[in-house]
Amino acid sequence: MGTSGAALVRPELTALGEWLDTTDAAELKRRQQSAEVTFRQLGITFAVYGDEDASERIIPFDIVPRVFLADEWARLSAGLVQRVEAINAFLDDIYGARRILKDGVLPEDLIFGNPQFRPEIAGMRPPHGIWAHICGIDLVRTGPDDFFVLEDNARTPSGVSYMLENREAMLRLCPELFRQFRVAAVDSYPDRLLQTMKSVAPQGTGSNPVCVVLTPGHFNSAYYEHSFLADSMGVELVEAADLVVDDDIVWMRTIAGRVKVDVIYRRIDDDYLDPLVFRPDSMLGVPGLIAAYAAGNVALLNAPGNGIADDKAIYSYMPEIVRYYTGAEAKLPNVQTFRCREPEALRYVLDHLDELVVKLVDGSGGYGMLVGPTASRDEIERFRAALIAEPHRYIAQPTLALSTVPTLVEQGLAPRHVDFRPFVLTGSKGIQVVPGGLTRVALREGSLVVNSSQGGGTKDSFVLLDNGPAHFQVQGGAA
Amino acid sequence: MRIAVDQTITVDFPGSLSSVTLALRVTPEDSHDQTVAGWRIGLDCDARLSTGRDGYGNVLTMLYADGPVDRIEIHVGGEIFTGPSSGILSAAHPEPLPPSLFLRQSSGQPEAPDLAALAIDAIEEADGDIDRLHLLNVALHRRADDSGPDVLAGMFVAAARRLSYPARCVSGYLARDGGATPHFWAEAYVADIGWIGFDPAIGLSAGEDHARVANAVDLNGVAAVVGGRVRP
Repeated sequence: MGTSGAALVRPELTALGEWLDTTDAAELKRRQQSAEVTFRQLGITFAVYGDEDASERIIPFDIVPRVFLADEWARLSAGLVQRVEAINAFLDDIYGARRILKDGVLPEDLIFGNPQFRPEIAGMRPPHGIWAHICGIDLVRTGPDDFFVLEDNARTPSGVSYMLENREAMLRLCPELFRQFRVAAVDSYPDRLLQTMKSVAPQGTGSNPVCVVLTPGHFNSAYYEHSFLADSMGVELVEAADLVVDDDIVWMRTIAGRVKVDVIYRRIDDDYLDPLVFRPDSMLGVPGLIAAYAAGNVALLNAPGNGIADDKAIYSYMPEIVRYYTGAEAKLPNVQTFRCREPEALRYVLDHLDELVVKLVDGSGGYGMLVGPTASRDEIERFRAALIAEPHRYIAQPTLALSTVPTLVEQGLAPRHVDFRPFVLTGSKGIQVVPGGLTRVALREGSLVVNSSQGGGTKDSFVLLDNGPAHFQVQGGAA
Repeated sequence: MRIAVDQTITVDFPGSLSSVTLALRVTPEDSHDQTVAGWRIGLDCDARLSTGRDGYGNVLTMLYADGPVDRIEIHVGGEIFTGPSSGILSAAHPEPLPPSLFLRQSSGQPEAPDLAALAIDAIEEADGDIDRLHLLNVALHRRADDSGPDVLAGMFVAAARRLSYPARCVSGYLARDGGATPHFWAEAYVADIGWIGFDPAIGLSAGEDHARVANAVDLNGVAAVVGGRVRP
């Protein structure tokens, strides 16, 4: 695992290889199908943009877990903590004193010309100065010790319900693995999230602040996750109509009268959060919510305005941002990125389109993307024209020799490319990395695109508490 | 100049609401260029007012009223004293956001396809930055047809940005016939000089008959009332 190309098993993971060898492929297939049936029953489905017929798809699940060894994980965690620390410091600075601009580390127009910088909330500071409470940092691996950050998600990263449901399925379907591998538990995530929420409650809300999850509603593709998280934290799942702001305080309407709300995990984008401040046509938002936030009477997770930290145009400056705020080199490097806004970079990109991945700065989820090595001549020419017309809207990156992990496909086990989204929680008592995450796998042979909307699947991610058993012991009845 | 403001804003809530939340930007502030006396906001209903600032530094008053309510009357008034002005905003004016923010293309701006052509034609003979902006202001005033001051201000802002000048929308009051009417104009930024007010509705720079209330990147951000349907 973690090797590129060939289906070699890393020596330290011999035991997992032995499990795969001793478990019948048909049995693995059966278990995988059983998991997918459960997911469909639970309603863990997603909608594909622009595909109205397929609004109820499940993301394919792969039964073969991806494994991180304890020491690998320790190094990775340290890098994630540093990255998220920098993201929070950056947001606090950019909406406040803007030292980083005064010191000339970032070009000013990159921030102020960027629609993700929200002037509406400039000068406001969230309770405890924490902006990015829940981050999902997308990583790729190119070698045993070579992890790169592909993308930071500091707004409303989704996918944590897959981490939890995939683990549930694995515990049920492959209990023998957990007898032999000491796998760190992830089921404490809802508790950790609730503790994080409570820790950032505004001053003066007492020891038991009221927390809620705010969802745009059941038509949202991540609604399952919203209801799942509210349910497992034991807090109310609310929609905008359930909340009202009065005298700069947020109240929840309940049958027993109104209840003051202190902390909101909102899964609504900034644009739709408060029609008095952002999009006036929003029906999903709560009028006055930003006034309550500005008055310091409610904590919003994540804080509004965070898009400026995970924007693709900012991404290429993350090594500088990490160095500026933490005083150290980034432990997790970026993927080399060509900023097409810079003429020299643009020239290089135009000359090497067939080797590069070109991304729209303000795009998401694999749309508006060119994967040079697999693109048709037409696609390449279309992107060339677009790049020449609006270079500032694009960045380009080399295609990486992404790691592959064994994956169950029609023909049996085969290597498939993966990425990884760990979740990092930041509260007033510090930063914690959840020992697990969402591994996304490109199920199509040779494909590097892991997005669920483009033929990607998921698998469980084992974080081992030690360096794993030397061998897999076949036990009677385990398979 | 003494500008006496006595304004009534009527806000309708079609369908009658169980509770109402409004954001008001109706309060001018003391600055180097103006002094405000006896400012008040009166209501025809029971409501709670809370005053703070928005991201641009404007005074923002939140109004919270219990329903059922289908209409609210807001009375705004007081006196504003202004001094002679060349339209240049005092450098002492607090600016929480830098000029370069006001170069961005905003969704709240009017899209007039011929605006770029108008801007380029207007400034053909211009001598220097201020002259260019003046000619643009005059050109917009001349073709004003029946566009209101808000639309014209939005057009000025869009055109000035296309010419690479930071520009923003401004709301306030215009002295007229011994009283004052709510008004909109624009400000453009010229390096080494600062923010200069231009009023395309009258074709002149914003002078001592202009009392300033709010500024923002677009017209949505300077609306006197957000959250209901303001009766014209």
